[in-house]
Amino acid sequence: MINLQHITVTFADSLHPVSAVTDVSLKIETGEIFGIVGTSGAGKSTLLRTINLLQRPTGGHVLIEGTDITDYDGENLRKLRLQMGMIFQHFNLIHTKTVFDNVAFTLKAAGVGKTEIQERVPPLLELVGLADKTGAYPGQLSGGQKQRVGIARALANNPKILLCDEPTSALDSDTTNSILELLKDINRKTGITMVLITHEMAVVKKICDRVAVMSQAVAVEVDTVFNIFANPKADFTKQLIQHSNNFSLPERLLADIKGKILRILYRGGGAEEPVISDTAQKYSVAVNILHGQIEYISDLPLGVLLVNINGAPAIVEEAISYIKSRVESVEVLYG
Amino acid sequence: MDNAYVLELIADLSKAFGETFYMIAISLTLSLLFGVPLGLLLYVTDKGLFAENRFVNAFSGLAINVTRSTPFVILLVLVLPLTQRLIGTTIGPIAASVPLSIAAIAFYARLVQSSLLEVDKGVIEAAVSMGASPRMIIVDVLLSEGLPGLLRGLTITAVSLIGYSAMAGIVGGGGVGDLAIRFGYYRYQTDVMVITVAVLVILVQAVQTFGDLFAKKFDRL
Repeated sequence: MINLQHITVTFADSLHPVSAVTDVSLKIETGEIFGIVGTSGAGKSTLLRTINLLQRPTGGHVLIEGTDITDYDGENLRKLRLQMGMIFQHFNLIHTKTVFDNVAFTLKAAGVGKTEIQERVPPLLELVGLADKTGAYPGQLSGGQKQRVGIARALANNPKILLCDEPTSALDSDTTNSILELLKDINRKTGITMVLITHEMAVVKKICDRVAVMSQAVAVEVDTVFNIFANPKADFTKQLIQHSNNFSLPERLLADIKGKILRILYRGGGAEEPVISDTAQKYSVAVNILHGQIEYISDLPLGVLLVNINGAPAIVEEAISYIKSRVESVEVLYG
Repeated sequence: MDNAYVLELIADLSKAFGETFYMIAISLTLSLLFGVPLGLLLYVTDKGLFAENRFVNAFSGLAINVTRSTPFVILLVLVLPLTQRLIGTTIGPIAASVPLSIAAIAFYARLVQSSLLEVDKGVIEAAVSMGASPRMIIVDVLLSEGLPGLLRGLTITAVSLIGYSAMAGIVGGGGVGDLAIRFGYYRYQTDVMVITVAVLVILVQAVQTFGDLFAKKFDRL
């Protein structure tokens, strides 16, 4: 478990000190994929770097498996870092070394002998699907392939923690998906704890179990990914979600509408039941779907529907309370 | 031009070539041996790096600047006592290699430092995050990533040394440049001067081409 206690990072500037992280406390469970999401400059990268002390916090403590590592330095720190892998937005491979030697570098850092290195590198390259690129130089690889080398390099010493600093932000969407699949697969197979930074909610939705939302140096909300999407509490989180599901209706539609417009939120099992058709059968109302989406986050369905409901006012009210009893929430947007 | 004259010129030229080669080989080797560690020292003791040390950094920087700001002709004369003590004589190409090496070490150390500064900080950070030792960071990251730049710097140093070695004639060092001055300038033998300059141009061109090829080979872009 990674336990960040009241982490503060202030960059000393002679004129005005800048606080990159202000009093952030997080507990990251063993084996989970934990996301840290926020806009650029929110301090997420600085926070991630305090976990392996690439950035020393100016206040607070970093505990790993219960051990306070905040003051580690020299050999102790080096040994600790051998148990954590890290991957980067710009891959940061040694471009004058082959794929094999880049992966071998990590093993060499851990003092692994030459013959063992020869045995251990090929399965790692196999794992990331680059068995045929052993002798290639990073300059000859695509972005996705470079990140795969980065992943193999980071995993070489069988670390318990993998820190991912915007691992897909320099990649196109297809490649992003394949890298995320690979990370998720590795997490499932090895039970490695992953901490992943991103500015894209889509990435969080795809692989994270829990997420911390950061804004202006502060963690404004920490919850499971499903809850963050289904029921965001902080205003900043709501904004982030809105960017990723845009449900605005055209003006023309609103002008012509009769009856009410409802925003229905389903979650969990409710999304798989035919609530709308049940309502239409049970009450004499017309229900028309205007907009909607059902997504599966962490294998749980989360649906949002915008519907137009029309009929005698009293029956409409009854129908609305019936829908309310069957779904997560109903909000009257219009009418 | 009769045959004897041409033969004598060829003999003079090949002797001068030998001397130039000697001086450059010695001082280039020494600049590699001492310039690389000195450049590394400047780099790693700089602010924010793993061996940050303001005193060492400022002192080595100053030593390099003093050497580099002294005009080479003056350095040549200044180090004569040192040359006498080290080599036992102040005359000849080997003696001239002492001031040449000092100048080359200072020159190359700066080029080493600047090519290390070109190494992507992210790659160094990645190595640190993986628990690499300072030794591994120096050998497998800095020197490996900086290699193309180090080779280009070595080419520049070699070309500068060819120029400097011409001045070595002042302390009896000999060499191609010295030949050009003695025959071409003092004796008004313009033909000799033109030939030696042409030879120098070819030499510099060859060194530069060879150096560029080498650097390109190690730059795996």
